[in-house]
Amino acid sequence: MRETLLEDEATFRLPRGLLGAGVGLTFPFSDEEPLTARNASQACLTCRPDLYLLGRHTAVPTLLDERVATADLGLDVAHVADPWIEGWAATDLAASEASLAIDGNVGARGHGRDVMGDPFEAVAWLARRLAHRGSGLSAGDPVAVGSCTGLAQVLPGQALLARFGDVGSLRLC
Amino acid sequence: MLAVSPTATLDAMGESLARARLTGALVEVDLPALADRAQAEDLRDAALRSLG
Repeated sequence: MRETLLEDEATFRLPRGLLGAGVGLTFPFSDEEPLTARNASQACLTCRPDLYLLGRHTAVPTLLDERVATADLGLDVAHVADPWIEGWAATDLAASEASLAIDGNVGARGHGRDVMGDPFEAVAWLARRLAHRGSGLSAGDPVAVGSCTGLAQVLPGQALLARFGDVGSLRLC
Repeated sequence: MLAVSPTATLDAMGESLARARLTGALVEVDLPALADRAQAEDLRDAALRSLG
């Protein structure tokens, strides 16, 4: 995937089928099994802010609904991420503001709590859901909780700046 | 562009979606033909298995 997105060290090529971008968090999972948001916060060793690129993988024009989005890998196309952040545990991630600025103007804004009330609730939900389906999370699995800012349309040539409270920010030009 | 016939198995469709995820190519998979959300989840899981 990296080779398809980066033509060189400085140029980012937007993938075909792109619908938009959003800002969220990703956690690496430990070997504990979280069933609640509290357990999930203890099972995640660190975190990082992510710029999510969402889009389709299919060329067939079709109405986008829950069934189509689910089958199409949840519309997950690519993540642009900073390094893992240490010392994040003192931050109230649910209360932290996330924003996506496009060419210097904030085009989307939200908070960690906009994902199921708490980003860790999303991690716990995923663990419960996978357990119900007979599988589960393994140590080291990265868990992306979803966009806290919704989805903003992005176009070639635009500069993007994603921020997540005090956790960090990343720029894509 | 890759093509998958409407009669392809979920595994074949999943492999095609996985290839699209890895390469950035768009594939011709008939997602609206899926019967319901459960079948959509089965296809997604087949793609994820193919991705390893």
